[in-house]
Amino acid sequence: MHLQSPLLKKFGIQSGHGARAALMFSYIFLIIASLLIVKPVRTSLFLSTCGAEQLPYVFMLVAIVSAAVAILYTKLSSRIPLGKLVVGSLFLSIVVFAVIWILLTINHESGWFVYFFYIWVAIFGVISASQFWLLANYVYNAREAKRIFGLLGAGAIAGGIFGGYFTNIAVPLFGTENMLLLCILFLIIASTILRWIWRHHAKRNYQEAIAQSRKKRQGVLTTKPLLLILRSKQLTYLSGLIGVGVLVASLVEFQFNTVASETFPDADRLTAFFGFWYSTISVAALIVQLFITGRLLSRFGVTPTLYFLPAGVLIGSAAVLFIPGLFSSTLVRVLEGGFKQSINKSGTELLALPIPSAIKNRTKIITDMLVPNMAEGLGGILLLLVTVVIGLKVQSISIIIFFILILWAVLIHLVKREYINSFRQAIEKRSVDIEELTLNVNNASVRQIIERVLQSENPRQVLYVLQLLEDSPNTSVSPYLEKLVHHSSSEVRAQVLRIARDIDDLDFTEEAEALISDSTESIRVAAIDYLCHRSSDPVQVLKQYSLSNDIGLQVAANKAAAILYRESIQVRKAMNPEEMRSESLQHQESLELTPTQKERLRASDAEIIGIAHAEELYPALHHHLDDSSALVLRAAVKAAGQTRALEFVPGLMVHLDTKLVRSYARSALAEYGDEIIEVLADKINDTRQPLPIRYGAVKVLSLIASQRAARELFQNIHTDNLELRFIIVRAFNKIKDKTPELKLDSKQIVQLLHQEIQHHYRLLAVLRQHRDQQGDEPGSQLEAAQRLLERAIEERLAINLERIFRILALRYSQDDIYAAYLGIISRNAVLQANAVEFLDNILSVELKQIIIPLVEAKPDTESLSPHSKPQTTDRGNGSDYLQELLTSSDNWLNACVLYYIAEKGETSWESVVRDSVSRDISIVSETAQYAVNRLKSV
Amino acid sequence: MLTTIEKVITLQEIDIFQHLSTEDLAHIAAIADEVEYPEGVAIFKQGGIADSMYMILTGKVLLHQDEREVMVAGEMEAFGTWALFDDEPRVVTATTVEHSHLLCIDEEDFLDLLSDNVRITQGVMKSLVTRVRKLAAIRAPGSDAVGR
Repeated sequence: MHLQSPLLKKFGIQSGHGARAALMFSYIFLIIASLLIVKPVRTSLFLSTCGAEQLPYVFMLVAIVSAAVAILYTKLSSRIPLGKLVVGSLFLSIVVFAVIWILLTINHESGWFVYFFYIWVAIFGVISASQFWLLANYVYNAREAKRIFGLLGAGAIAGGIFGGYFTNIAVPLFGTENMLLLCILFLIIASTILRWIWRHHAKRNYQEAIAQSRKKRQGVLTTKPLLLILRSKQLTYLSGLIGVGVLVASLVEFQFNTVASETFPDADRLTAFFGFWYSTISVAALIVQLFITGRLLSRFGVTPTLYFLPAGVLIGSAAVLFIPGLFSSTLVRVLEGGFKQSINKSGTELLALPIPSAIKNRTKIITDMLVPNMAEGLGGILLLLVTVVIGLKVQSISIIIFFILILWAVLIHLVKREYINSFRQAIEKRSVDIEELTLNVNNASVRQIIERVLQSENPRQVLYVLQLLEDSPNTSVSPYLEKLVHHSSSEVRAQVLRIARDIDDLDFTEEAEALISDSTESIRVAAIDYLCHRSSDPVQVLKQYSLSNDIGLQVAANKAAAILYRESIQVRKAMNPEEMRSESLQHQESLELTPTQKERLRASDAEIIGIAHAEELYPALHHHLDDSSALVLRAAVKAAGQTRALEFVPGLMVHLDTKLVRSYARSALAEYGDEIIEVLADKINDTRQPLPIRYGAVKVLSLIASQRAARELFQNIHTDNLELRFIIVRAFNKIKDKTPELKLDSKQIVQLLHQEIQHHYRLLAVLRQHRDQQGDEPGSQLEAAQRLLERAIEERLAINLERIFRILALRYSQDDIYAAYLGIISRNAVLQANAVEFLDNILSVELKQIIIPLVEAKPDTESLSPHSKPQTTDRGNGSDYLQELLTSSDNWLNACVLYYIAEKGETSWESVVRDSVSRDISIVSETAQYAVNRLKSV
Repeated sequence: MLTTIEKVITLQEIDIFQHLSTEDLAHIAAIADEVEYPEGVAIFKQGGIADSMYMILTGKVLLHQDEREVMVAGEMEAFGTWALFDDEPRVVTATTVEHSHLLCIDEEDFLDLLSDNVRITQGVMKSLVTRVRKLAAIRAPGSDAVGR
């Protein structure tokens, strides 16, 4: 199936996706062009107003303000949806640039204003570009991203080239300040494109990704990012390389700016000069990237290529030192900028390849923000020191650069040692994240390792590397595929087909046809999918197999159809899912099928609707949600969750109380994320709902694990239903595990702890009173009843203690509190004492006062506060505590008390017992009826 | 006819349920049926399908392989417990020595309950692990590692 034109295919764009790619390209082009227009303006304005001697101060300020903005931005991004945040930031930039333009036109050039302009452009540069790439992650799925990000990167470079050269030409015509108007115009067009892209291509994916990320957060690392870096030599050296690169860049920038401002005193000429050279640097980077990077990486591997940037800086800095002037300082700036954006960037990204993505994501804030900011700030301090304190000339800064270059070379040498080892281990442990990385098979060192793994007979390792290779937009994968298509494992062969379907010069039709008869469904699906891609009429191919008499083949064909329907616009246009389904059903009716086969087909039908997301088929999915088979129900519930269509929510809620399906229903509902939080909260609050549904709703909120979900849960935490409270607290523990940054009202936590501790003391008092009752002879029914009640109360105390510690874990480290809890409940006195001591050290004074007496020894009920004593009616026989147990909302304790009263023959309780007969809890009413009969006989 | 709570008191004695709370035992009690067998009746036979376990409320049951006596189970003792966990055929025949009143737990009901209640599953697994550890300790006397 040739779905795309060769030109589009060359750029990794599928048919029908051209408009989206064009818009994304235009958006990043306009953003970077705007940046390259304002950057020369702000630099020339700063230099002509404040002079080059103030550059170190502004470097330091940029570092400090960027760090503050990064913190603020991180907080905002967790509260505001991405779309609103990006549009809002762009709008704010437009307003700020408009204000700056007005102030410039009225010749307002005070020091603070020039500083503000400089810093704002730096922040705009960082935020707008990173927002674009973040947005792109939601516009494209992982596979598309790997194919198209190269094109978008080219858009950014093209924008950079255009912006700078345009400034160079336009400044003499319009003047420096009016360049801002052009920048504003570009940003307005960009914001219009942005809104369209968000609405049509990103919003839904963003919501889905948020729902997915909640699941992925399970088991996420909780170690602090800085510790993670320090524990990994490779990450430490990598951070060092990034920091040294930024430090040198700030010194080079200073030399370049200073010499340029001395050469061009006129602001317009200076702006034009910067515009021209910023673009020229982009052109240099593009040339290096297109013609040199790949070859160097292929020939020398990663680490040697890292020497190019410091070597370039070394040559340039030597020129600045020995032949000072505009030529030398421009040369070093071009070499630094050209290599940094191309060969060095690719090399650094490859160095990070073996690091597991969970660690990379967690340390990103340090490597991408903190390290560069600190390095830039350090650059400012260093410049102040050498220019103001020591009084060195601009060209002498090269000497400082030479020293830093030595450190740079040492770091490259150190990182080289770590890289290959880490990569080998990562492949063996399969810890490289397939979703996020593209393997550069042109890299010599990586290629060697891959070839060795692919020759192995271990299908798991081969499959893993194949998955890594899958999205490599490079035909050099073909030789590997040609060998592996005959691999002994059919799973490997299927994976080969999946990759080969988009490679024109490979034809595995014969192999695909052979795999059609494989017994594994996923392999059959891959084979049919391959044949569809190779056919000019994929719908016909699908029909051919979906109308087969082989049930397995039918199911595989329908699944392949659903995948194609979802992935390909062309197939969506050519296929009527309702018609195809009805043909398939008619065909199935004509076959003599066993009940098991029919059940399997119904389940697969539900799965297909979930995969295809075809709204026309939703009525059928509703039907499957009422199926009597657990197999079909599970598939239907899962599919409903995949669609995330709100019409399925009521049906899924019902299944929170369906045996064998409820865990699937919880996961499916969690897929909806924050969208259904209010519905879930209503279920929890609704006391008419069956308890399993209320409990299930709590568990769904814990799976969603957002701040909103936590807020809704917290509103229900004071419930009188102790089991519900326990489930809510446990849900909170899970949320905190997944979202360590979760914020909870600590006052309410303390209040809740007071409530629980009071309950604990009351139970203890009850237990003490019960034990004081005269024991009956061993083996009698009364003694058994007495022991049962005692044990039930002890169990409640244990649950209460667990609840107390779980609540404590909401305020303190979960690991610490869990360790203390295990110590407290152990029978080992030393462990208990250690746990008490540990708690004494970590708890606040306020909490210590209430927790330590509880865990230190068995509290003395005599010393309990009046509130803690059982609130009962004295019947004068010492059994008045039974009243409290009987009137509590704990059904199991109610039943145990009733049984105890029955065996004890306490006739004074007869009327109370009789009232319990009508309770709608079967264990209570049954035991009450038993007690009534027993008391009658007494 | 026993009430649920009376069944709970009985079930407390079963080794495999020792780690369950009394409330969880009430769930087991709900699926435990009372059955009565006259003297000399085979409750199940060696090599037969193992699909339920039994607890003697009153009476005595002889467990034997052909003519060889394995043991005689008395009141508050359970037999056929492993039937709840595997599909292997019965290794003994169970014959009542006298008129016996038993509690019977069906394997399917039990597995259904386990799939629905994680606390019960945890408790039962804990008991199984305890058994395995005891067996391992018997096989390797003096080995510290086994008992841990």
